[in-house]
Amino acid sequence: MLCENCKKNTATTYFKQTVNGKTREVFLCSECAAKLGLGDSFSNFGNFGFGLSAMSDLLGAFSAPASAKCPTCGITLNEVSRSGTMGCADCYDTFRDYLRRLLPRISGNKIHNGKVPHAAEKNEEKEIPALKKRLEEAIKTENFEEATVLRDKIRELEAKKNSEGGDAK
Amino acid sequence: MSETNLPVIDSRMVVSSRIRLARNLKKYPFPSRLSEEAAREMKLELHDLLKEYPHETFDFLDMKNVTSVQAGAMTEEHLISPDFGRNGEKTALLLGREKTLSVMINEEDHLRIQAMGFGSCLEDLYRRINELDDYIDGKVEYAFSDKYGYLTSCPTNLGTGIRASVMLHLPALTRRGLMERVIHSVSQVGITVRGLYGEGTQAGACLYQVSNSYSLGISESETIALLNRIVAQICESEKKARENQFPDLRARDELYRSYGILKECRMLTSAEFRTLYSKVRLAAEEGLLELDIPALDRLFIECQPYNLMLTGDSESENERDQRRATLVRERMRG
Ligand SMILES: [Zn+2]
Ligand SMILES: [Zn+2]
Repeated sequence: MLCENCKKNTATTYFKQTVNGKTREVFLCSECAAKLGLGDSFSNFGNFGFGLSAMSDLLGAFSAPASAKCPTCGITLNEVSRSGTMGCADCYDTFRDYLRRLLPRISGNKIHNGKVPHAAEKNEEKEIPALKKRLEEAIKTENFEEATVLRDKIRELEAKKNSEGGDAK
Repeated sequence: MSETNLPVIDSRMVVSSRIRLARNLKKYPFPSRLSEEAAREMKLELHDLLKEYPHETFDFLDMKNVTSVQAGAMTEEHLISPDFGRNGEKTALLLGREKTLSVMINEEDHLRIQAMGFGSCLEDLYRRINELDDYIDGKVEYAFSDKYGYLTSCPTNLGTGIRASVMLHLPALTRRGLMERVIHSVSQVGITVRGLYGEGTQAGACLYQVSNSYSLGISESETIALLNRIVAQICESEKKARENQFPDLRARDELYRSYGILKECRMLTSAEFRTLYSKVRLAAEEGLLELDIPALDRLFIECQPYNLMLTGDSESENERDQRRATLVRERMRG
């Protein structure tokens, strides 16, 4: 993932900033972060850390405060962005805004394709309606990239359903 | 697998293949947020569960009882990650009898299921690892989401949670300074190439790990097919880079001399051994020397520092270099 400022170095820092009601998110390398006066506190992050610590004082208001906490495991957004790792399965819901921004940079705008554990398999019948509901929501929130992915997934599942018949799983 | 035109891999330069699956149990927070008490409980639970696995017998190694030398040796064998041994209160390793199938408990994820084998064998490894994964899935509830797939501690492992990798020996591409180009071009299709043992220079083992960069939105079979295709391409480039090299007597001479050193040395540092290993392996791959290549690869592991410490109490580097030379000499003379 490249720094959005210089487009040369690897981004190591994630910022979410709200100015006049508009939210802006950026990924920066440590050099550019330093240029913006946010340097030292990030220098020791691993190459997959996304720092979001002391800059709230420096850059002003942040819409998702670094202290936002996962209700299940208690990890804060600050810690998540710093270590690059989640604290528990529920963090994926708690920090979904952060992920929506992060994931396209790792794997493109994609949703799961592959093996499904047996506990989730039972819901397969209900999968298409659930996806349709999410598609509606994505359109409502103008998240068109996700909407495209969901639409393709629904088409794929419907095609599979129509062609499959009694195929062994 | 529905792949009809499987790529043909020139297997001479393929050292080994590995697959690992990242899995987490729904009822516990990820290892970094897990209390030591809960971690101990989980170790026992998974131990009990895997004892009953019909297709493999696992040794249970609670990492808190493993010495740093033993842990170092297992790291050199690629059985565990370096941090895994340092976190013994939480971690345990379940190790299959042949050491080809293993499960790390509480590494970055609750479960890191691994399978490895010599040469190019990803399909076989996936069959074995998938069978074990099915068995565990029948006994526990995994953390999973329809959108993100298997939920993992680090978002780079989301999706199938699979990391498939193939270790390649690429001396000619290395020597010609082409590896950087290879690394860059395959990164465009989601493949990562990483030099092991400080590669990038001519000196070294010229060993590289080729693996998928992410696992979200790409199925297990697609991942393996993609990796096989890229590995075949890289091996083809290596073959081209080797062309017309060995009619040259000087080039052959260099390899034979390396073999001579291994047969007669009395002191051998780790770094020198890596370089000579690469040259002798190359000679064997090109049919210039008749050598058992898998045995040479095993010797490579045995000659690493922690593995040497394991078989003798040679504390000083000098002693180790001496013991390394003795070991290599014995094996090379047959
Ligand atoms: Zn930058
Ligand atoms: Zn959490």
